[in-house]
Amino acid sequence: MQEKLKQYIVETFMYGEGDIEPDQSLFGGDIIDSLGFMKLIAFIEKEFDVELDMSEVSMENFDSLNEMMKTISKKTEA
Amino acid sequence: MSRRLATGVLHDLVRSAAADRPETPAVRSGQGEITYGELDARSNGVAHCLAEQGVRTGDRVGLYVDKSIDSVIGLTGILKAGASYVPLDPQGPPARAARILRDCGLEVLITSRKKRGRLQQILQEELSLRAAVLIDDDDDKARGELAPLDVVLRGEIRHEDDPPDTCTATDENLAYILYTSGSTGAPKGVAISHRASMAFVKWSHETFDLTPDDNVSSHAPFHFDLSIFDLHASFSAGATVCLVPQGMSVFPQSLAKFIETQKITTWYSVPSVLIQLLLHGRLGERDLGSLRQVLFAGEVFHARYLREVMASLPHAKFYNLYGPTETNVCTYYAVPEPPANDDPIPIGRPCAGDEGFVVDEDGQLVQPGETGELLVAGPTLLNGYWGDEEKTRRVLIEGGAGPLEGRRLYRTGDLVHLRNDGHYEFHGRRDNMVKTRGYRVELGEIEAALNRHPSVSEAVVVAKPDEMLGNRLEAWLVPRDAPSFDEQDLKKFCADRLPQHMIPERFFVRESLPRTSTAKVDRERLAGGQF
Repeated sequence: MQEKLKQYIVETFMYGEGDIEPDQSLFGGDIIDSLGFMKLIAFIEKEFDVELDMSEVSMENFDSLNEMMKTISKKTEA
Repeated sequence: MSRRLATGVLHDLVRSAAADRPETPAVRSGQGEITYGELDARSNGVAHCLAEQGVRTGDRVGLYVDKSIDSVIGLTGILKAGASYVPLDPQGPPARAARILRDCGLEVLITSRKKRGRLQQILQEELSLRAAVLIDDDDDKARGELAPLDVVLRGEIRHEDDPPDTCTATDENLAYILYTSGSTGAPKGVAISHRASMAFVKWSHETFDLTPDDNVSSHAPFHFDLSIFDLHASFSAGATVCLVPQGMSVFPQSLAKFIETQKITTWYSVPSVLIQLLLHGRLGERDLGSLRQVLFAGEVFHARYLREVMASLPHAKFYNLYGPTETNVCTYYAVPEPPANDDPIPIGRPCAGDEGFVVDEDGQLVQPGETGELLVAGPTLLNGYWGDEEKTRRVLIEGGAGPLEGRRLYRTGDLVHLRNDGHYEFHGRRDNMVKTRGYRVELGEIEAALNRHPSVSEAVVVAKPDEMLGNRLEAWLVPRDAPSFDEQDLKKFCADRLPQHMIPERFFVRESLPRTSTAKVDRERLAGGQF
């Protein structure tokens, strides 16, 4: 799952070039902007079959791949 | 000859706040805070470094730093050296930064550790750059990396009691040059004098009644003109500027928490950010009692969203500020109460000493109530576009005989009408400039970039209106010979040349594009998607 998410981020926001670390700051590190954020949420909802409200995610629980995966799995377990 | 009162210069605002209240916090960020006394002393030090690098009154110095306390010190230091600051989009592609560096003939740049990699890329281009001040960096390796530039490291920047005496800037000098999207593909530099900026800064300080007790948000990046209020109106009042941490603005919930914990009293941003706060910020769970006023600008705020935002922040006053970068802000409207219906929110009356005139296509005044182009006269106007007299002549005109005689007027390109109640109402643009998330975008700049792609024969970019974002961008392409395009490749091509907000969301490829009877591309049909 993490690999799939990473692949999407690299393809969509880095145009297939480069790599990201699991703990890398994606929003603070100017890789994803506000429009990208909406696309990312839509992708996650479709791909992982979860409903993710924008009000549930924050700088603390969504800024890196690791944090995103934790937040998503909490939702899928619930 | 008429005598004009001196208005003072921007950097004296920091000096005088430091003299009055040296211990008041001037800037606060996620990393900490700095008092007016420290900001004054450290920016003096930056100004001395710049003077030692040969910067003199009237020169221009680039600012290529992520938003931070250091970037505010750098910006203030540039002004104290007598120079004008040229903020470069810290997130934008290096190729565009290089273009601006070249256009502006920048020789000295203030930058930071995090930007070293991008700066190395920029240095591969032919430029007049000869020195870089690394404001937060003591790594000696930078000297080798950035050769042949003269590199000044953090340790070499001292605290100083006074700015260098080479600074003789008056209100006639340029304070900053803000680059905006240009229709022919090259960004254009809006050159603003201290006098013009101070006219707006003094007006906004008084109108919004800022005091040393205020905590003012800084949401917009420094290359965006909303930052002029955030920084300089706050300095004028000795208030505290609270920098929104990078990346936070995409998370409405984090922003709401920021407003609460920083006790923000005055918020200023584009409407789309406020809409996100409303829809996803869980405002009801926060104590936002400190927030006494919300200023918005940069794009149309649709009444149905504004109504809800106002209802969720009942203690705050709301103001619509209007003005292209070329005028700072030239009209404003105090929203008296949540709008009862979905009629457009007016842009209000002229302010800061400015006057407005509505003219038809021949430049003749129209009757009150009729729609025409808004011309602005007054103290807040730009000096011109940097290094482009022709573009300047096209927008800065001398009024002919009649009521406009003798006035220096800026043509906004915006269509408005004057309502019965004396407020202007905005109707749209005369040309191909659009707004997306508050950013000004010339569709021609994107088209010029796409036309440089080796496989593109013709490119047209259209804007699809979107209530939340302003507009979404779509590109229509005619290929040269290869029948297919890789969308990833096209996006990457754009990302190397344009800031992120200018990259089209979707690309469509056709063998030909629809034309109007005059053989122009039929943009309306493309925007309607009926093709």
